[in-house]
Amino acid sequence: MSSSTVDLAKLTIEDIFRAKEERRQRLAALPFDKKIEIVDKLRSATAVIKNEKLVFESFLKAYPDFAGERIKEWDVVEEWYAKRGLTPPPEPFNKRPDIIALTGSGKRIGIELKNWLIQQQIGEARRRERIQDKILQAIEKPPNETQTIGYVWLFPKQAQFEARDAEGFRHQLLCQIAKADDEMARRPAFEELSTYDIENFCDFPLLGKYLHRIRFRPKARGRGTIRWIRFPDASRHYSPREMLESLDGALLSHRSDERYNKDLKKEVGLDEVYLLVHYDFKAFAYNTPFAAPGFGFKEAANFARESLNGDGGYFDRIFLFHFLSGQEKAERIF
Amino acid sequence: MEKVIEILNRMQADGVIERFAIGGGIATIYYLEPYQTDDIDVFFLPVVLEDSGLVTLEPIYSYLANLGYYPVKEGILVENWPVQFVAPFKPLQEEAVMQARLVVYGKTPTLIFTSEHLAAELLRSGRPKDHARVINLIQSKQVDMEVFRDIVRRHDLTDEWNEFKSRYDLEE
Repeated sequence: MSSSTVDLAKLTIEDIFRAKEERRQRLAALPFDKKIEIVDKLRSATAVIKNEKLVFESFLKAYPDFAGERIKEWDVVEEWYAKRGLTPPPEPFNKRPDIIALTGSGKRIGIELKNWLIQQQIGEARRRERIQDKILQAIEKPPNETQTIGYVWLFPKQAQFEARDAEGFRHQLLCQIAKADDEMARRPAFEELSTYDIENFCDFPLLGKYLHRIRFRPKARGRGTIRWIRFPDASRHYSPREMLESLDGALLSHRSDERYNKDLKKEVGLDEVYLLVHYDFKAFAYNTPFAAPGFGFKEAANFARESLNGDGGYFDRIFLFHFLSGQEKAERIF
Repeated sequence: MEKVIEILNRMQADGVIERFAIGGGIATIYYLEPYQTDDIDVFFLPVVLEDSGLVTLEPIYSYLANLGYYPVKEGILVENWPVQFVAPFKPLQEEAVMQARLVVYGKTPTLIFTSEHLAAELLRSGRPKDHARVINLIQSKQVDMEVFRDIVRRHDLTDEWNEFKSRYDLEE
């Protein structure tokens, strides 16, 4: 039943059921991988809605009066229209902004959610994790049978690990560990607590191919038995500067983003539009932290306020939200 | 999902599990139209039983942890798919794994419950959404009713089947 042949005046309930059944059969006949592609899309759409709900729910708890009065009802944009049986505005306004809320006095507010994160860092961190996983898989779990070594830290290069190198890499790593164990055993007593680094892998080319350095920590400083071969924490050395620069850049580009210009208020029927920039677990896990000694969320919010310099662009209010479980904090920055 | 299947196949080749087959929502989608399902149900025959005779998931969890995949809720998140490992606790599920159908996803082979075993397992589990899938499987003529009835009889599901037929006004 194509749309060109439908005469709405003559449409019966049976027609609707028949059309539904035909659609079901057409979808059921798709190849398995095409069906899973559809499932995947359904899953990610739901995940986005779930995440937006979670962020806003938590923000509302942290800052219930963010609109200057209590919120009477709210929903993620798609659900706002669906639950109330309202006709959504035309595209692209039917999906903007992320949240629609109604205040106690009847003011209709739209809230756009944005992540505070450095996407490039996330990509790098995930690539690093993939390389580390491949290396861990290659070396399996050898027991720590050394005399002097407590832990071994591997510093991998950003090189794709090839499966055919796995066995050779494992063998060379165990030989290098045995060699370092011998050398550390011959060190004078005053060096007993010092770490021992290897950066020259001329005897072990596969190690040189994938590693910058291996650091051996002496047993005298603690001995690992199960996960004794590991990787250093990539975020140990940092400065909050990078995250603040990204916040500055993001705020300045969001406030002048044409998608939220005055047409949005008119088309969606909003009295005000707010921007909510949130720092969540993804940023915490993959980005350099924004906090440093003497510099926390309050200071980051002050920094953001100064960046905006009293200009919220298309937004009536802008908020910064620290969305980490148990540490939720929110500040109005414009 | 192909990557998940590759990993499951590798787990089987590495002897972490004896044999596995996909059941639940993903298997249903193989036979019917796609709908939203959040996880992959993997029914597996274990290699090792604990002294108590219980099945331990520890070898599966540690194998996947070594690959960088960690538990979420009731399963393990593998390549963005929550995978639930289910050790058969009913002879019907064990038979469904043993007689599963070989299918190819992308370029990767895998085993999926036959539509008859899937329908019987959904009948057994008995939630309203499972019953709806049984009706869909039967009405879309995906189920060989002779085979299905035999499974129902052999696995003591005749009462459930009779009740199901009368509740949903189903004619055979």
